[in-house]
Amino acid sequence: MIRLIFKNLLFFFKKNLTLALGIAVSTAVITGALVVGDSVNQSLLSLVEERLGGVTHAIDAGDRYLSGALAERLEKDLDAPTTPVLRLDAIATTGGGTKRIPGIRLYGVDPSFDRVIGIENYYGTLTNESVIISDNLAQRLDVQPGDEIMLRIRKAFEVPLETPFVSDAEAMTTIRVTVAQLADQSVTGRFSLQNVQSPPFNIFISRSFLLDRMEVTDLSNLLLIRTEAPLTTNKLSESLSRNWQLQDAGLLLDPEPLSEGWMLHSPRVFLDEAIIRAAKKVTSDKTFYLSYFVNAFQVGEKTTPYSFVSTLPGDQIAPDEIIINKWLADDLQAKAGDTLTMRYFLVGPLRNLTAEEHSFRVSKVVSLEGFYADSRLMPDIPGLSDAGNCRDWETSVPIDLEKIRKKDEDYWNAHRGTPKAFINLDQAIGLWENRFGSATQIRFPPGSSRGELESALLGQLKPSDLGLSVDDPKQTGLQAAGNGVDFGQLFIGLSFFLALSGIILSFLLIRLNLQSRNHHMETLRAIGWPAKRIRQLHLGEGLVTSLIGLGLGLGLTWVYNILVFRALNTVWNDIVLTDSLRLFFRPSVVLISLGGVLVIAVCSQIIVINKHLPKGIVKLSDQRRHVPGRVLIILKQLAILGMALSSTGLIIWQILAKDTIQPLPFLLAGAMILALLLLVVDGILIRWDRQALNQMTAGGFLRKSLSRNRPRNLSVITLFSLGVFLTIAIGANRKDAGLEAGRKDAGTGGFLLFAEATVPLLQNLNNPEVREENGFETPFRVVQLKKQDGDDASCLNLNQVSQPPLLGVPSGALEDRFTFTTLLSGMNPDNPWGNLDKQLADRVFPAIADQTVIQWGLGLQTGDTLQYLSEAGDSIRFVLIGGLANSIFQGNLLISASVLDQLYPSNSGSRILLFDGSMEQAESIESEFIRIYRDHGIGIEPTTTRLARFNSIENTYLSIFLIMGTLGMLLGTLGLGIILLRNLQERASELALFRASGFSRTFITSLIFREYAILLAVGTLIGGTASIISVIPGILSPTGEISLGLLLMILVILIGNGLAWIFSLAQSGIRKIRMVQELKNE
Amino acid sequence: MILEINNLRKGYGVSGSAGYREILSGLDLTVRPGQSIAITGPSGSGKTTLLNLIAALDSPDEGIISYKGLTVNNLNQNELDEYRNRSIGMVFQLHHLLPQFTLLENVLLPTLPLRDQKQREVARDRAEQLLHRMGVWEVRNQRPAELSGGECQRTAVARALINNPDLLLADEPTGALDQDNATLMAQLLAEISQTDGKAVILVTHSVDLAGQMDAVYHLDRGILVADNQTK
Repeated sequence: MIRLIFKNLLFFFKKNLTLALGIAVSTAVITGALVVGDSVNQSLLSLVEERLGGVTHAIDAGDRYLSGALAERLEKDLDAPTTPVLRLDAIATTGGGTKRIPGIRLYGVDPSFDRVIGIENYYGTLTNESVIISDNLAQRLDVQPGDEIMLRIRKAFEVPLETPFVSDAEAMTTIRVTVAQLADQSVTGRFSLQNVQSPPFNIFISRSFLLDRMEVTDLSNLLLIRTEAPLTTNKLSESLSRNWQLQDAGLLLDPEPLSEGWMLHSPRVFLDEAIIRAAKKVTSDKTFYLSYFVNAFQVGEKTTPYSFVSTLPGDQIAPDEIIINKWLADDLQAKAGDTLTMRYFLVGPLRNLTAEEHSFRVSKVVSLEGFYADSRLMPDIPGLSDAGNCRDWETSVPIDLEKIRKKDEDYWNAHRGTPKAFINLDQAIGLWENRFGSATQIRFPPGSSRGELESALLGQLKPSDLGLSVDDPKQTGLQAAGNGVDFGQLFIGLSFFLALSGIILSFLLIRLNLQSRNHHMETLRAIGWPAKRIRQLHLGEGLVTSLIGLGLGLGLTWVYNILVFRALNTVWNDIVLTDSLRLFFRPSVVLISLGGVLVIAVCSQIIVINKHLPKGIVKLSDQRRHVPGRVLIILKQLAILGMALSSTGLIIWQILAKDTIQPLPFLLAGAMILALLLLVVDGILIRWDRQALNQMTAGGFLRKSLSRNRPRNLSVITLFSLGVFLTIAIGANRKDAGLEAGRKDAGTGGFLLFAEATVPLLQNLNNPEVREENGFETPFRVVQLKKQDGDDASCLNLNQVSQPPLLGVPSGALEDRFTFTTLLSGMNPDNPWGNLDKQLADRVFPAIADQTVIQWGLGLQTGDTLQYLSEAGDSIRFVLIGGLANSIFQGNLLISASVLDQLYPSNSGSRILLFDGSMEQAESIESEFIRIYRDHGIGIEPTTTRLARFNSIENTYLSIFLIMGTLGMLLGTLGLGIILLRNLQERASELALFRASGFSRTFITSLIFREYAILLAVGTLIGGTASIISVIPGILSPTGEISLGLLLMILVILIGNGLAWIFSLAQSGIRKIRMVQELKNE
Repeated sequence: MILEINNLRKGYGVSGSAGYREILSGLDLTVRPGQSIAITGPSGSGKTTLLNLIAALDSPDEGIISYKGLTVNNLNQNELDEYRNRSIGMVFQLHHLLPQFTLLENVLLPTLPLRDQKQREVARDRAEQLLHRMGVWEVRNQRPAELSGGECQRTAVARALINNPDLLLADEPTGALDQDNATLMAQLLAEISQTDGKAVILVTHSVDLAGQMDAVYHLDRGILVADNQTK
């Protein structure tokens, strides 16, 4: 048997080689796609190792600061290397300002950083101005070791910048540094805690040098830990709770000399609600104080400017009463019983000031002594409390220096910010409570030691209450990479038609091979071979051929992957955004996919062999008419009717529906119409087969010839129609961001420019005074959004993300802009953005995202929830209430600005700005904005450019699909060529008869050409018709996202290619006709 | 004369080499209109080769084939196509009917290049007459796979006659038929010659079939020898 198998293989060498090549193509496509997917996943996993080095755990303080000493205590407690890092945002400038790169992460590191990362004497060698920069940043800045860089740094500022009265004048500093080394992945130069594969721009500097330059001591905002031992985040949190101190919670506990007790205050000015709650639980007596800076006191005509007011508990003063000190009483000539009006500012987001006033009855005038002379009641407000005199005050509220009198200066010099008045605490909270807290100081009576009080307070406080997050980035990173975009599936999807073409082609070749050997099978049956043995013989041949095909396919797979990876690292880099993808040829993946292809090939052969194996010795000839049964015809007719009705119904329903038109029903309708038309063509072929010709015309001849090999011809039509359908239906969805970009319902929201600042902007740019002050000349409107960092959930990130960045949308700012593709039922459809201001339940808030982010970035759907931790450590949920059509917000979660302020009070200033104005002035707005805010690290671009970047990913995917689809179509053309060649071989005697009957070669060529061109034309027409249905949503879309030029070009190339194949094969086939031999015998 | 063949030579292989084999060695033959002749001879003697040369399916190495005074060897490709289509009809050992067509359609196949509607209608009438005459009228709308070998071969004769040629060439037309059908075929060919006045050249192994022709030639070692016992 084995000898026979090999003899047959050699005898039918050409046919078997063709089959092996067909299988090789399928192998290359399927195995190649899986290897690409596996390689991308392995690369992402490697990237996690490379970006984290040895770091396994991290404690991230967010906007707060920890002491460096905490790292030492944790290291001892955990017995694991731990290092403090001061992570700051920076803007790098070289070439005298010609090159400016925002969005740089500056890491102040200690020598212990090397131990945690897992290298020796590298970052630890940094001293003074020397820095190590990541190689990708060096490339962008075009710098080498020894070159200098200017760094504009957002200082380690313990006070949230939007805290009332705090000035941001000192928020930034500039240092000149020298590049010592360039760090690549091998030394964790691309260190990042974010689950994003795109490389960050990093600069590493000595932490002690950085602290010196910012005139602060021992601060860090990130602790990194390396441990091989199992350490859960819970265990790490417990260790942190055991080892943190008040300083790490941003608190100061100082002796209070008057009562010899203690006073708890914070460099953050206001005490967080979590701290107030904790303090309330401490059994010791305590008194809360809320001191506030007011603009003026007025009694009658007399006014005293700029003073501090503090509070007294409810048992000491009633609401609407005020106790004033003697100095103020004298200044205002006020006495008990007088009405005093107090004017003050409320400071809102973006430092929007609201002038308020409240009137009190003077209940008492007290001497400026004892408690009433305690300047420590004034909170530490940088720029204010530390100013030498009133004229040096730097605050976030306007100070009219003209109003400051000499006596005010004298008071300041003598008593600093000692409150001049005292009101009821509860009333003060009602007036001045803000998102940063409702107290500025807590005083404890004597009786407790500092240690007792500290441990009592910390005992009531969890690090997470203050937004300190404990994470295991390596594990979550590996998880995010492992669950990220499945490129294997993606490439199988993208190569679907190519793989399908390969499989159909292989199946066709197997079938043709066996058909051509029908008579061999019949002979073997006639000489007494059992069917089983014949099956074994053919299967044996098929198996060997398949194995040869797999071998050849493996070589092609290698070529395929080299090409795909070269493309991914270059022309298709849009979809991966990293230059670190490597090819992993893991034997397990290759073997699994090869096994899969082998199973498909062998199963196809078993099916075909069983179908063609002669049941008896009677010849099974193609000449028998394959007449479909009546039941089958009725079933087909019912299917046609059903599909016609369903597709029409789907289209009408979608067009009439008020909701946004969904692409899926149209794709479905298109697919149904494709199937329907194929069934119609099948019916026509059956009908032609039955029709008798009264005269022999070329048309009649073609009809008969086409109906002769109905299944074979139908498979060619199917292949082509499917190819054209998929190419147009999917390829036509290429997006053009420029189309209708000015419309408010477009993906740009009608905005001109999108800007992102490295350092938040604390001003309201719509305020004319702010504009004038800053020198803006070009008119514009701007929407300013706050951003709470998270992992990018756009299609730029291949990792799976669960907490995208949050953008706070001011109420009404985006009304009537953008287009919603989905909206949760129960929400107001007339003003979808207005729904963001609702609170759905306790700690449950609404959120909006791009539909693509919801579906692909998060793997969720509208109505699902996302869980976050608020700054106060509370678990909060965001319900996805709506999905936006492809927009500039891709990658982010949009929530109400007031909710963001409430949940993340330390988040100060706006980082995202959307400019609206006239198109002609876009450049002026851009250049003015960059000039005025250059120190904020501004990245600004037209909204169309931003949208085009997102679109380019989708477009790149579509390009890949088009390339694969085109290759599939070419393979389909090859299939058509093989069928044509095969048919010409089978019809050799027919053609010889034509020649013998005196038909010219040209006439026969034209007959054959027309016959196969009809197959091509019908396939194209069916695919084209069905695809037009499927792209209706694109045509009807307000943004009109259809671009047909490229598709038409591809189709012309494909059809031209098909026609060329048909013509050349028909001509050469007819030229080769050997009349004498063909007519001699069959 | 309708056909004159002078000094016809044909061989296979490279002339002068050891593998060269001469099939026809200076063969002469003349055929009158309405004459039927049979050519017999052992397998490989060159009978079919001779017929193929007359039908211009192959070209001779030497000699002249002249049809109604027209030298077939000198015809260009278009004239050759015209010659095959209009002047001769050919019946093969196997019927070579196309499976996708009915018998009527198969008969009409040689009229495919006709562009004139009237000519097509004439061809249609003639096809019907021929099908009647060949005794397959009743099954004209059946396909070859559904009919017997005899019916198919008679249809092939009708197809050969559809363009009303003056010369009918038949290459072992009864080779694949049973005795009854072979006899019927022989009668049919004789009748075509006698009634329609068409010249018929028949290549056969069958003595009975050859006996029904006007003349019988025996082809041996490339030379055609007249059988004296013929009519």
